[in-house]
Amino acid sequence: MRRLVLSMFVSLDGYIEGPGGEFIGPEWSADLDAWTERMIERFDTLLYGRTAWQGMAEFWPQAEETAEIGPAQQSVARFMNGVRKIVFSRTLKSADAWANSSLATAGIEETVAAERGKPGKDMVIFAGAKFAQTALRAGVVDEIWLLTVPMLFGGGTRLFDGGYEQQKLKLLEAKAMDTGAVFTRYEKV
Amino acid sequence: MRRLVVWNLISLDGYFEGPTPWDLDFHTTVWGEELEAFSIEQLNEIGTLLFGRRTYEGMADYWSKATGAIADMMNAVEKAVATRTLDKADWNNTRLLKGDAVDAVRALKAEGGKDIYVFGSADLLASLQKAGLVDEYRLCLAPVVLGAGNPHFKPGGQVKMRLEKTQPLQTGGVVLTYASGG
Repeated sequence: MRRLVLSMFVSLDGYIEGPGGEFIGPEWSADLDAWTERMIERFDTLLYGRTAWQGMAEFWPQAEETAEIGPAQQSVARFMNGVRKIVFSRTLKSADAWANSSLATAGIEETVAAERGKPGKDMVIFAGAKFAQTALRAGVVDEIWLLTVPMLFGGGTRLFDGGYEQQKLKLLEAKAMDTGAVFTRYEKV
Repeated sequence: MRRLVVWNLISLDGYFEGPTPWDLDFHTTVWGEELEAFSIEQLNEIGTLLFGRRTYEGMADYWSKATGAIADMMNAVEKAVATRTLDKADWNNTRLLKGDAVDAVRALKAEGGKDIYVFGSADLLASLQKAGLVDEYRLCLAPVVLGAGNPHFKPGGQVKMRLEKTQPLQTGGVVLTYASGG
């Protein structure tokens, strides 16, 4: 059975975006490269809300040919462009702007349920605040991966914004990274 | 100058208590021998245990009736409570900090002795955080999402931290230690 993982960068005070809606990424490092490699190994399907998909559709298709990015990021670019992407949107007419993307034909519960039964690697949501919250509320997330950056944002968009049931989790892993970020991995029990 | 250390248990979604005050049921998800040993070791390091009024009252009520090694230490250690409303505090070895909490805590830090620890007290903590008086955060991250509750970190400014230690517990809790200010 394929699993759905929610994998997010989050500040110590629980935000995934800063007060102005800005993305505050983690510091890049050897450990983060290894962590990215692990993402690439583990997943073969990405789930997106419209906003994050559109943002990335503008970036990744060209990124593979861009000389400025290093070899590690080029391998990420190859993965991002080659991997299967499912986009949840009520307004998009097509997902042709980015290779290997398709529009979901049903809601998140139904789509994820259908995908679970298919062969292949696991699915991941790794971007999009609103969409992450939708997935949490729908109760379709099997594992939560958090990369907690050593910073208080002081405000912004919370990853966990309520509307979901209380849920006990099992800690699978906790590891400090070279940047001072902490990677924790949990599964539903 | 004494250091000011913040200790709290928080859920994965950042709450230190559930939707109603003193709803701390999620503590059972991490409590055990390891955290007990950690608490005793930590209590030995405390010069003054600092509280906001609301946390103080709840703690005083609970610990003054409790027994055991931790209760003995909680009852014996010097306490300070920042309050505009209390005129007296009956819990053993308590000082009242009247007036502006930030000024009072600054003065408390300037005193000699062992370090100051803040347990709970999220509102007081927000003021201390804003004034740059927090030196260290120790947070036990519990493996549970509550869905609703009272956030440990209140909105404020952007602060860089330096990760000092990561201690996973058998129960699935993770104790994170950060120095404030990157």
